[in-house]
Amino acid sequence: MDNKRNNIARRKTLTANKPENVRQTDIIILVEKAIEGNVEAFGELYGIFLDRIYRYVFYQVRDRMTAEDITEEVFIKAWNAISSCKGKEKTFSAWLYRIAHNRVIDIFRSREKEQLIEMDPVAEAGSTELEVETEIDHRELLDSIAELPPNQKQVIILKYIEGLDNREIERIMGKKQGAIRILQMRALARLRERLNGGAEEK
Amino acid sequence: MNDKFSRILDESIERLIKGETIESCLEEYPNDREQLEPLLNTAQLISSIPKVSVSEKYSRVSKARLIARIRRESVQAREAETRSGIGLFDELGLAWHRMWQSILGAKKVAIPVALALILALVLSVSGLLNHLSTTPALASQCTLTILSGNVDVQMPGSNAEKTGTDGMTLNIGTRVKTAPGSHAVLTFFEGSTVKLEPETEIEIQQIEYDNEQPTAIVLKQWLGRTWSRVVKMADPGSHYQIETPSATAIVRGTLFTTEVEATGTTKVATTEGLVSVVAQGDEVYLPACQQTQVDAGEVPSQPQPVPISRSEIIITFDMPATGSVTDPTGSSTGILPSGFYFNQIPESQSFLTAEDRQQINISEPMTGEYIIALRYLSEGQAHFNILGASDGNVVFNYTGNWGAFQEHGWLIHLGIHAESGRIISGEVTSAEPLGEETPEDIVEAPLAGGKASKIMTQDSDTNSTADVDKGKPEDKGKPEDEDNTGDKGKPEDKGKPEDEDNTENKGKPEDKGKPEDKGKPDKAKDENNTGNKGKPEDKGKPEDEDNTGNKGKPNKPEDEDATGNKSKPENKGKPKDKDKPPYWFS
Repeated sequence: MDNKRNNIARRKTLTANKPENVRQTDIIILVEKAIEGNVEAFGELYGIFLDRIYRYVFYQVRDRMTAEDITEEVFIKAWNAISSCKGKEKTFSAWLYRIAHNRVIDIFRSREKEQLIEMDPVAEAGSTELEVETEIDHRELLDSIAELPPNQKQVIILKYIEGLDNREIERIMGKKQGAIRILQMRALARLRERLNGGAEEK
Repeated sequence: MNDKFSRILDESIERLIKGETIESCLEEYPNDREQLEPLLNTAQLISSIPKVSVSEKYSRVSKARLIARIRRESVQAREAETRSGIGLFDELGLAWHRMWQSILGAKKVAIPVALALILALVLSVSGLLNHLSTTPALASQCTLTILSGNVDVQMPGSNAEKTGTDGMTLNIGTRVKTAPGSHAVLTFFEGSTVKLEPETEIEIQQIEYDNEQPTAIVLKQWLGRTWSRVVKMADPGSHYQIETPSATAIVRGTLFTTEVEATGTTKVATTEGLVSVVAQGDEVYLPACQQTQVDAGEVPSQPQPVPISRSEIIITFDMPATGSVTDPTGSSTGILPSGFYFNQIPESQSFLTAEDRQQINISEPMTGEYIIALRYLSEGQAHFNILGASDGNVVFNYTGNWGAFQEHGWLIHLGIHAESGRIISGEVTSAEPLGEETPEDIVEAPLAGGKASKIMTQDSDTNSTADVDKGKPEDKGKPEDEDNTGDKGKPEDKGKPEDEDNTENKGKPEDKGKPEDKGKPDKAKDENNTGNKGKPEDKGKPEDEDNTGNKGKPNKPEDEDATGNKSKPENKGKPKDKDKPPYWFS
């Protein structure tokens, strides 16, 4: 397992998982129409951002059905508050991510309040589809990411999984780039420590 | 120092993203190599995580569902505003009329009194205008649906019981009681439903919904058994609550049963989601597949796993179709093409699998006729499968690949014989085009005083008392795990319904999937008025279509035709030739 990890690490390039290339101008037009009450336009926005928001939520909640539910709620909230985007159509993406982030935080808070019973470790690791899709290395890595403090986790998911740049992350998180760099550094250091600790145990 | 290094790290990562190697980055910062290298390796590792994506089918279906929901909520909001506005106008008109009458009838009207009346009228108008501009959407009622038999209702403030009528609106404080052998459903404004089994008595204690305030539904269950399907409540402060003589169950989005005996003993079992059960100051949490019992005056027992159900019907529908199942009591579970989801059959579930296939699970079906409705989202053929399993063995297994008949869907009649929770036999007796009358009895857009889009019903089968599988709480045995709390209990014994797109073969394990069985020529071809050929290639293995990897399908056919059921689907009530589905199946 350690060899596998090293082999992956030695790859020459870091893949920038850039979101699909939909023209920003098209998105702005759709947002403007949605603000005017055009449901079809909002549906188009849904199609454009569904994957990103779903993925963003999924990697935090680690359960497919919960991620689907939260994703739908995010878009419903977005529709209900779409008028607040007026004049800020260019930052629609960041706004949507913020809604998603807040919703995920709400879920985590309510779960803490409800004192959820300890779950079956297998189930807790995520959906079976995740198991099918990822190697053992990735599962351990995802577990580690899931255990990061919220802000660090958010930076890691937005940058390395969603493929957003620092400027976009800055808009979503409402933090300056300096703070984001620090969060990134701490997150990577913590992950490294955890993964190394796991490797040693093996 | 940290800031400087974080900048170096960030710049290095940007360079990696542009295509440079780790080594070239390290050469740039030799003094920081030792610290930098492991972090860059970690960054690369993270970026190698495969991206989870939704399928195109899911994207399409969920988009349709979202738009339908947005439109529905928009209509509901407008109706609510209009309704309250009209109400106020009525009151205003009445007030004006009374005032005018008093003025006309009075011999002497003091000017101050007249002025006071006019002032009151002005204030009323102001109040009305304010009300129209900021009307919260309050929906303090629910809709009664009588699936079968008789239901008595006792209105708030009255001791007398009267016969309830299908579709009537019930207010807070109403008591509802189902007669022996009778089934009913209460539907709340946001879609939550509570199904009442026979001889069940509940009281509506609280219903509150407002865009700004938490949603609250509180019921008191005095006796009997209910099956609650609670729509997920977005607001953390909202809740659905059932109080019994011995306990209180609180949820925010789930499927669960509550059973109250004459002694006051309460049993709660969760199918999906999480239920909190409180009694005597003690609280237990029931995630999916867990149950608890609360005796009168006692604390809840520790959660125990719900026994796996002894038998199950599993129905799957591929796109572009959606489906529903109606049981002999008239209760239905499934999805409409609009995306509206309903669940009235206790311990049943309907969900989308990883392959975007809709799956409906019915635990321990009862004897009687089940009606499966197949509806189409768009043109094209849809594969479906109907599997019945008992004690891990397949009892029957039907499959088909049908297109819509003249833009209509299909109704498939499935006869089940069950004993002691086990399926003895099952056979498809007939199929017909889905017409104006639909088997489901659901309220799609329940609003205060409203009864929008109620689907017409066929005659419901009331002859279910003797055979009703009361579903002792202990046999929940849940499903694969469609509950977002990571439910487990997978019936690993499911196995695969291969897919005999056959014809008359039924419950004959050895016949399953025999190539030569494909599309019985006489059936297959065609009443294919829709050009549906029903090819053999409609396999559809739904090996594991539950999005959490539920792979257990009943142990295949190979052998035990558990019941030796060999009879062909006689097609009782066979549809006319031209209406015959393109395929008959086994």
